[in-house]
Amino acid sequence: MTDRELNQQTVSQLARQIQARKVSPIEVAKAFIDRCTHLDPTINAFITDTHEAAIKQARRAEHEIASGNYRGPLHGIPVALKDLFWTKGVRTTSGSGVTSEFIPNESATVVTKLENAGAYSIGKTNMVEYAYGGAEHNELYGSPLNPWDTSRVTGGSSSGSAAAVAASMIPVALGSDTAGSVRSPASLCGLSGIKPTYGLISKYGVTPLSWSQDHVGPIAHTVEDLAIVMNALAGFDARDPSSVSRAAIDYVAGLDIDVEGLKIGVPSNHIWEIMHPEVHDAFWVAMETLIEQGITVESVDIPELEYISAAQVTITLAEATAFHADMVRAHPEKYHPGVRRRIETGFFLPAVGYIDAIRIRSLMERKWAELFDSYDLIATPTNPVFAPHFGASEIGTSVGPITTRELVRLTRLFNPNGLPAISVPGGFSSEGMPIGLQIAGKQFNDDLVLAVANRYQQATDWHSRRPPI
Amino acid sequence: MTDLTKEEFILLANHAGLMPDDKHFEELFTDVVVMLDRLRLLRQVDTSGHEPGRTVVQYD
Repeated sequence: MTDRELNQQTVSQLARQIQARKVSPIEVAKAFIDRCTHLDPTINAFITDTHEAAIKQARRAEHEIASGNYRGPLHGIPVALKDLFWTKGVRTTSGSGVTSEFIPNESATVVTKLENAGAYSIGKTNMVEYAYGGAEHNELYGSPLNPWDTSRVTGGSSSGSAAAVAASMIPVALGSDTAGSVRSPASLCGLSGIKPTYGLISKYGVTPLSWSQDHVGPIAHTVEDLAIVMNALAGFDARDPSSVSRAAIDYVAGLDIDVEGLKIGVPSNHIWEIMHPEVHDAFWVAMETLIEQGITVESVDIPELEYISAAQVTITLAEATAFHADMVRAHPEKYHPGVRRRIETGFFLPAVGYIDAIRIRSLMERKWAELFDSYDLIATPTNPVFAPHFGASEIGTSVGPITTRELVRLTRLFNPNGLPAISVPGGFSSEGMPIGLQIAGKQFNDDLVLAVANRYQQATDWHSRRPPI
Repeated sequence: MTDLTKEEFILLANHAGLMPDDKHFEELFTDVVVMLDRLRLLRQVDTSGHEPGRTVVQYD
């Protein structure tokens, strides 16, 4: 198999070949590292590479597998880590000049779990500074380019993670999601990405943006690959105060859950106020595909969506400013101007405003519960538009221009209540840009979300397309 | 809430320990006004009977 063919493989495809010893972990590591070396000067997906360490770890994996100690489908698989996951002995910038020289003395729980599963990191990926934004240019580290059209953004904040996977520089990467930072770049780059239920995957050792809304999630080509990573990462962690203790679920086995007879609700309000017509059309074609799988799709009015969106922004504002208060006072000039302004705005937020927002979160918990009594899942487009061009502060839609901050308008709805939500490729625009389909579920119904998304991928081939780069 | 004057804003900014910078403060003032408007939207919601909630409540 050529390097190019290896680069095109999914995690599950690589795993099968590694397990059968048709391909060695060293070959895999070298193929992806070579592609990074060749492409990343253009794509700018990585802030720090760890190629040397990766080769050593791939060699170790090779010895272990040759000795009959195969650990599972991530054994010998290279991964990339958004640069806010602490990595012992490797600098972790969080995309900022403020912490550009921070070298953690321990790794995030998820990094350790990936290593225990036999995976190894080939580098730390670029991101929006401190994950505080959906499309901002990173002035210090540059911005990753969208491999589908390098004049366009990837979306963020897990911008480098999505760019690296889309450009086949890595088969899977980790991101974090507070308003859509896994799902939005996955959508804009033609990939699959999931934000699991809050508390299911540890946040220990992850630089926070909003403690109560941050989620760790993988970005890959297929839903099956997301399930493989979920199996490795889910589980209680006493070091994360929000971690939840649940019986382990095999998310890969769960991909075969019978989805026939399920009922999906599509919000009839709020989300359609701003929508590119091609995204609108692609979404309803996707719904037709799900209907063909035996799933019922109905429109449902959810009048509180506008408020949960405002609550999400307010909660983020309060918690992010609390985290950054000392640093932004001490080093304001080291922040991106837009990120600095967002953080400083939080100093003017009255405590009662924050409390109002988290009371709305409580209200929504009941509303979602009522909704999920009638519907198994909620579906929306992932973004109202496809990837905008660099420098565009506004994006054209059927109702006129919207700001790039609206990119995460539909994803942020599911963060305050920690609902599992996935984005999968759901079509392409007439300009050849990916369009994402978002499916969300009840807390801890991650397996159902994955199963329906997987069924959709079995019926479509959007996820198997690769950019011409 | 949106009747914040520029003078009040500067006073609050200084109190918060922010460094004055003319151009930056103009943009920050605009963002703060937008934020205060958003709070007005939140106040429209009837949250009576709802205590501040956690993201996920663990049941088992």
